[in-house]
Amino acid sequence: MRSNGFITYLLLSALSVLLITLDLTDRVSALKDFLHYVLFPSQQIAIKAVSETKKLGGNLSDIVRVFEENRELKQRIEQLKYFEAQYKFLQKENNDLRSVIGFAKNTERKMVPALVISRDPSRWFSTIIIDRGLNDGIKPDMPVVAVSYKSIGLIGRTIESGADFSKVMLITDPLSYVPVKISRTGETCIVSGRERAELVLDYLSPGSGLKIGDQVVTSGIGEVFPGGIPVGFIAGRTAQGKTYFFQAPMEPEIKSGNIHKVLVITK
Amino acid sequence: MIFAFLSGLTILLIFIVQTLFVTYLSFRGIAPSFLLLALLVFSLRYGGKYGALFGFASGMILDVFTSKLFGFEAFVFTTLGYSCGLLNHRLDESMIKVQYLVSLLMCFMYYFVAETILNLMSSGVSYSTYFRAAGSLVYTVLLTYPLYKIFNRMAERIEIWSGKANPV
Repeated sequence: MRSNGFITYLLLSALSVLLITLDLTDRVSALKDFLHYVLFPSQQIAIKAVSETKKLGGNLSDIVRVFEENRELKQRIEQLKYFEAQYKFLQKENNDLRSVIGFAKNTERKMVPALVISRDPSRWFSTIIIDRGLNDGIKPDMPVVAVSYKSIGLIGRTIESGADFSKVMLITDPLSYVPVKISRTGETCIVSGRERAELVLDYLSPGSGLKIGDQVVTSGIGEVFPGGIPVGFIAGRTAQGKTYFFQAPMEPEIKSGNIHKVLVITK
Repeated sequence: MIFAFLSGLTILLIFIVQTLFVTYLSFRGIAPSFLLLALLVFSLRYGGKYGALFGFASGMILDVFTSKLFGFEAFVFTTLGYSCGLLNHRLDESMIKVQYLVSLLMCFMYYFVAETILNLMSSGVSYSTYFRAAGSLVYTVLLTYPLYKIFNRMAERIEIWSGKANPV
């Protein structure tokens, strides 16, 4: 009986090791897609059931809060309408000037909203799974942003897409590198993850004059992240790394625990 | 057959519950793993062969939805399930200290040994990973007793529904 169990263990372990070694081949990808196709609906139903239950749980204090929030937001919308008009005017002017000096026009960004459907506790700062995929035009290497109560910020990029799901590598993953610039000084550098809540700003030149609280946005260098997306803030003093360059700790714009609904920039 | 089907359904259910509530239960990346505790209960109850199968199925689900390296969680969970199953009939699993001790061992293997191997294979080992792993280990071990009771009750129900339970 015990040897029977050992044989089962050996077979299953061998199968797992085979899957690890053949991870990127077509057959394993097909198996992944099949398992997603089978398992995905149950998870989606559960998420919908929970969100519906939450909706039913609204009470009078919620209604009062929503009323007040609604009034505030209406005022904010009026403000934003003015800013939008200004933005469109400036964008047009910018595009006109870019065409005069021969640069390509800035195109408007298209975003696909998605819901986080899975997050592994043991890979908390590495990856999340969202409920949109190839059917919604999402492909690997598309930037993903999230909106929290007051701000919008970059959280990562898509690394794998199935028909109805995508895997997102968070900026806190140690394999993630994002080209950024400091809004105040314009200095370009790289933000990398360390598998924890904070980020690290690297390749800062000596004497860059950074201040705590300086905003960091994507620089637009490279093909994945468009420029101007908020990434975070400088959270501490700079220190020399292992090379000539300096490093600084950074606080992400969107806290890791606030990633529930996201937007994938598809264009 | 019904028993295997119900076991599979249980794994899926526990995974869904874990996914839905882990955001609310986590603190700075420190979160418990319900599937690991379920694996502990079911393998201690039914032995090495069942533990390996239960572990493989749970690991595969984790691999499909979350893991960076497809097949890695399946391998780790299979090994943990089989090893834990070997303790079946050797220890009195109804004793709370046994439950905590086995849970501590399993969590250590999962959060430290497996994590180190994975980190060596990908991005290198960092201290923050171990800080988070230690936190998750403590969190999961603390939840051992209540979750053990729940999963044990689920196992009893599965036995009754599949006709495996002793009618007396």
